[in-house]
Amino acid sequence: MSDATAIAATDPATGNARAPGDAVARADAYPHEHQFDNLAQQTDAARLGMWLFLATEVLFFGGLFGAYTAYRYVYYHAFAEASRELSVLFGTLDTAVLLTSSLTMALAVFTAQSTADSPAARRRSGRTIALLLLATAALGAGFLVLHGFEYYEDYQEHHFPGRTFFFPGAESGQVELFFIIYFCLTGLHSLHVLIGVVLLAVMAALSWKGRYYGGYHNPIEISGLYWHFVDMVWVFLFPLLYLIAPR
Amino acid sequence: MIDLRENYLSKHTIRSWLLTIDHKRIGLLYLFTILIFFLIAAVAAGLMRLELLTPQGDLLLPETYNKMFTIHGVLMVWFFLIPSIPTVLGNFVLPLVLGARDVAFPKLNLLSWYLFILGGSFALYGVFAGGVDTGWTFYTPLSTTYANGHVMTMAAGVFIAGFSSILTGLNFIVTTHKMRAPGLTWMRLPLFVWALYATSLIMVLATPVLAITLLLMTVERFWGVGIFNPALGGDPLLFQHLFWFYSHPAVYIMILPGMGVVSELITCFSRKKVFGYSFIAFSSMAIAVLGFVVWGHHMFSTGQSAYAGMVFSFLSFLVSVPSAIKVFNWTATLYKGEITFSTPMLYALGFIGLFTLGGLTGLFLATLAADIHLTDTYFVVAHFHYVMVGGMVLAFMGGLHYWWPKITGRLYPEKAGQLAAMITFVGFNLTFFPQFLLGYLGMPRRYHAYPEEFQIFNVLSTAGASILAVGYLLPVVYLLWSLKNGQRAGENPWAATGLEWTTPSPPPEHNFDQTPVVTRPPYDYAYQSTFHPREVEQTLENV
Amino acid sequence: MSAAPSTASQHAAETPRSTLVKNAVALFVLLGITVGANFLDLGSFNVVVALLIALIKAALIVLIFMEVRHRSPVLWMFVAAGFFWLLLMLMMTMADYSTRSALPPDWLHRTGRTNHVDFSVGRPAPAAPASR
Ligand SMILES: [Cu+2]
Repeated sequence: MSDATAIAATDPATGNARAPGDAVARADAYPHEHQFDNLAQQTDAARLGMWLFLATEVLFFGGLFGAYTAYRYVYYHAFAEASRELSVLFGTLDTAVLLTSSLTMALAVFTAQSTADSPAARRRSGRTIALLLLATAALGAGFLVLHGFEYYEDYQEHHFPGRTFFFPGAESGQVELFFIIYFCLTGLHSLHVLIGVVLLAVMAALSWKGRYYGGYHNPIEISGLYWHFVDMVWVFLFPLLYLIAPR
Repeated sequence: MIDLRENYLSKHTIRSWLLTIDHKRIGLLYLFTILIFFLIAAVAAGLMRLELLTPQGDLLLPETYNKMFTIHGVLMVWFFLIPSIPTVLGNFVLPLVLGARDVAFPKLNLLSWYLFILGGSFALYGVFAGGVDTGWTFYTPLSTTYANGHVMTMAAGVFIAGFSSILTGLNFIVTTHKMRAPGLTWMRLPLFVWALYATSLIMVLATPVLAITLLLMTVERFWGVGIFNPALGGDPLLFQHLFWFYSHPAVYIMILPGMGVVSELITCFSRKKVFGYSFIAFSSMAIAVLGFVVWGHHMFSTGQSAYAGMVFSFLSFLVSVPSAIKVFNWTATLYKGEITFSTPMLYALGFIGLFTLGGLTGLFLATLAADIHLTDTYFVVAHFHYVMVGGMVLAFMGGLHYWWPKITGRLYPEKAGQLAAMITFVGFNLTFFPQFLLGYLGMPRRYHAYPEEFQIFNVLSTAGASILAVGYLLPVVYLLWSLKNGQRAGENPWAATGLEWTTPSPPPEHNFDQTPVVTRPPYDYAYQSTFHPREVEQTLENV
Repeated sequence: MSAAPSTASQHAAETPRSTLVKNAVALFVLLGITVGANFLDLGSFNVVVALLIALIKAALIVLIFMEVRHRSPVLWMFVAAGFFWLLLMLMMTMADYSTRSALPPDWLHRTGRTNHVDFSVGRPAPAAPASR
């Protein structure tokens, strides 16, 4: 099998911009799943797979963005009115919390990537990684709490679509349409945050004893991709929902 | 050449099947599952054809008839056609032709089967608990406001099965990028791989939009809000835009893998290098991309902007070009080939003819003015059945026969196979050609009763359907028979090129004893024949 | 790119810690700008500015936090694919919505069909066409 590995490592068709061959040789020393030739191939496959999954997520949210765009165009004025009903303060806080959590997440990946192979080093940074992941998860939970308050406020102001919805004026139905899309988008996003919080908590527990280090850090990196993606979705939701009309 | 070594079928426990992460076994799990759905959906179709034997609605109640075409549509589209070639033949063959030990994510592969089962259970519950009468398209506001029945259960089933399809697509793309054997460059890939790759792209990029659309429909139905309801400010056409953003590309999920299989069959049984390899390969990719911007042709007769209609009409004409390229290239491959009319080849030739007819009538429907007349008539029904059944099902049958020796290690009885292929072809045409005429004469689809002047064509169609049923049942009988009694197949009974034919039949669990190294271009039949002289003939004569 | 060479047991992260922190600071500055811009009346440019800043923020997250700048062209392709396909969807959907009102309001009735949705609600109704 080592024969095939050597060929695969230099084959440009495998499609990864690997640095010098020694990186591959080194990766060979680490355990990998049976269907792969080495850890480098496994890592590349996992990254590509995760990004494909994120592409499906872009289109999953994309359907809602499509609905948003169409109705925003058709009911231009009503959407601006509706957007002014949301609190910029809350929106800004939401964004700040998520951006901070992205930093702690990136630092967790950084720590995992730069941990040496020695058992002592792995134990030491295992704790750091776990704490950074827990901080990220806590910030995510904080985001959910903030959003809970926001939803409660929306409900009290009769902005929850359905029987309790009320908005004065002739454009009531169109404003309600904005709020349907608002609740779908933020609800779906919050669901993703919730999944992320659980995922990161599990990853923190796994990292505690030094499972992830420079030689094998892919699961942390992949979880990070997911978390940053959720953050990125919010980066678009914030202006589209809160900032479309000047205050 | 009898090879009785251990292979992937050696373990027999139920546990070894239900917890397998072997792509070959997962392919067979899928085969078994989709055949159950095919059977139920076919029974629904049979009941509809019986009802339509007479102009009066005398067999089924109107509501029951509506439920029948919904069951037929939902199960056939999402639980048979879309998974058919990718999950059965694709799962089985893809790692083998790439010279890999398995797909990139074997556990995800098994998860995708379980999701499929879960989604299928929801759909079946919806069917047997009372059914749904919205048609497979779930159009609003019918599905959200007026329809009774298990709309949400059915939608949940499709939603979950969608994720199964996404995971399969994701797995195939990563596998094709990262798991190719040394020397197997992109331009040496079998055309089936190109087709699967293009299909997977569509699965990954289109299916999530279907998921969110069904979710929005469910929100509207459950909360009684007006996302798509004009009475509450929404636009029903938005549902159609989102739905067809998935469902037109989904048509290519259903036909592209078939085209890939046919490319393999035509070359193998003409014993020639395929004509215009790169054109066929890139036309698959072109179809995958262009297929995403033509969906508006399903909405010509709605309130869609006429300007958008013109753009969609033009683009729909454009997407027929890559399909036509394939047909021309297959035909050119046949030219001066050493053609053998074995069963897979008969299916492949049938595919070319029927797909061409289905594709050309698609151009009628892409023409704005003609479509106003033909919308929602039997012409549309005939058109997509020529593509879906005449195309995909024939390709699936052809592929199943072609790889059957590899899958089971046994040859099927050739004469019976040829007979079934011809019965299918005749039965299919008799069923669906009259429907072109019916549609042209103006018979609308989705009605259980009709004026008497349409009866003759409906009788022909129902007669054809019964012949078609024989064409489907015959292979079930002789393929099962061949499991025990079929002649043992060697490594390469068709003297075909491709890495899957270099390992024993059935393959060992790890596929290859040594990672194969590819040194030759694809479909090098001139070279192949020097050491496999006409073994096909012998195989045929032995039966 | 990671600068420090790695031996068999030492590893260097792909992105230095300082870059990560700088990136976060940049994101916060952009957040400040986008919120500030919301209090200026730029007409319909408010949305344009807000979206432009969102795009820059997304690019920073993708390239630096998600480390796509260290990845292969194939991966770049798939990163772009999701957004490109979203663009296709928005473009073709808007091809319909943006040209519907360009037709005379009664064009569907002339073809013998009826329009289901009255999109003139909330926007100035198009002037009635001269009778032809
Ligand atoms: Cu279509």
